[in-house]
Amino acid sequence: MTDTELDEILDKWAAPAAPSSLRATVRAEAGSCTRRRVRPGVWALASVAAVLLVGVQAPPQKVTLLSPAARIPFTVDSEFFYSPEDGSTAVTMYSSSYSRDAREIFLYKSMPGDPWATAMLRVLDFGAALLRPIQEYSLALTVPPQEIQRARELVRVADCVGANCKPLSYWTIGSRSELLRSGCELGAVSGHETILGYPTAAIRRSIAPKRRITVWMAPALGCFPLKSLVEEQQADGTFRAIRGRRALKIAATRNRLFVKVCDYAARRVTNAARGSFSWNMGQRAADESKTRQPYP
Amino acid sequence: MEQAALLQLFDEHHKPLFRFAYRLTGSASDAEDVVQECFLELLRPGCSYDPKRTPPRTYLFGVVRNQSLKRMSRNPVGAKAEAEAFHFPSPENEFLKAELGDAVARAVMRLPETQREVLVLAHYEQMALAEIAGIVGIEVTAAKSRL
Repeated sequence: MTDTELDEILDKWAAPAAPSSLRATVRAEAGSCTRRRVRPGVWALASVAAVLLVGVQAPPQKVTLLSPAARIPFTVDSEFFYSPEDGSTAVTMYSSSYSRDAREIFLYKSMPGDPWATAMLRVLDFGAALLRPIQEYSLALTVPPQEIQRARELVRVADCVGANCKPLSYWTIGSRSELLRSGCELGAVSGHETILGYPTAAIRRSIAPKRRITVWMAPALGCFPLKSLVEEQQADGTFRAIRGRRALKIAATRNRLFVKVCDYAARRVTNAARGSFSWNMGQRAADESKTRQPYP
Repeated sequence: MEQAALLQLFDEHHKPLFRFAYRLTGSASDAEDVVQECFLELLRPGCSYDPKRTPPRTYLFGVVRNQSLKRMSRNPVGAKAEAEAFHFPSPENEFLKAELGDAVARAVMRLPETQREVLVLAHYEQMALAEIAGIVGIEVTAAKSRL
């Protein structure tokens, strides 16, 4: 058999034509493949955004659960206000914060009339709350302990400078250990006041020429500043309040979902104990029936 | 790869690819699936295709070959393939031709895979030995010896 004859025989095997539906199928599948293909970076960004979105909506208790190192015994909702010369008052910021060792830590802040700034602040505050343990750990690795101790020893009070309150300013009012030891009455006390049911002591400091700050701190709340007032001296020698803060609500927070009973293991109920319990209950009921007086 | 570029490639190459897949698998439906998977492979995020290194035709034939071999290893050519692929319902006057075609198909399908793929590419797709060697992944001399 020659090559030509072999070719002729092979040519007898004809392949069918490709189905016309094949192109439509490939086109449809290609469309869905292209839609499905999402870059890993997009997934990472979406995940971070989702966490932040959940985080900014989370109440302080949830932040505590996420970040166990940041134990939150209570939260204080406050408003920061600004008083222009015309005598009016405008709220510049609402905040929720707590105090640990006389150090105020903000959980979130909101700017009235500025939702964009509020959202940004909440994201930043939530991230800061989560990262605080890491930050403290890395600080301990990089900064000498004496320096950290010295910085932590200072008590600083937040102040909302300017109409937009960005960023917060802080005024140092004294030593933390001395403040806590003295029951928040560090130096000259300018007065006492009960705010939202908590007794406070007011101390006053000069922060600039012709300006002073008065801070009302509650000993029961670890010297948390429930109220502060920045005043400016006028030409006639009197002081006029130009800005300040006041507490609106104080709430205790629960740091644990479940509280374990200390002697839980020892409290095994035996039959004898059950009998004793029943007897006790029966005895108590009998005693109560003896002592109970009929309703008038 | 964008969808428009993919469809352009499809229009240029799908017919010979389908024929090749059909002649390797012996099944039109398998060939259809193989060609479809071959083009969708180009959209896969980890697709290693580099147009500067390999011509698209060589790459696509290589993918079809691999997919066909994979499919054949799962479902060896048997009764189904013979019934589906080599039965040509034809008019009476073409009966003899069809019978001969069936016989050739059966004969080619009985060849070892290594020889069949080279034969199909060389005879039916009229490819040069160098290109066949590139698709199959062997030396040119080895491709020639398999013919």
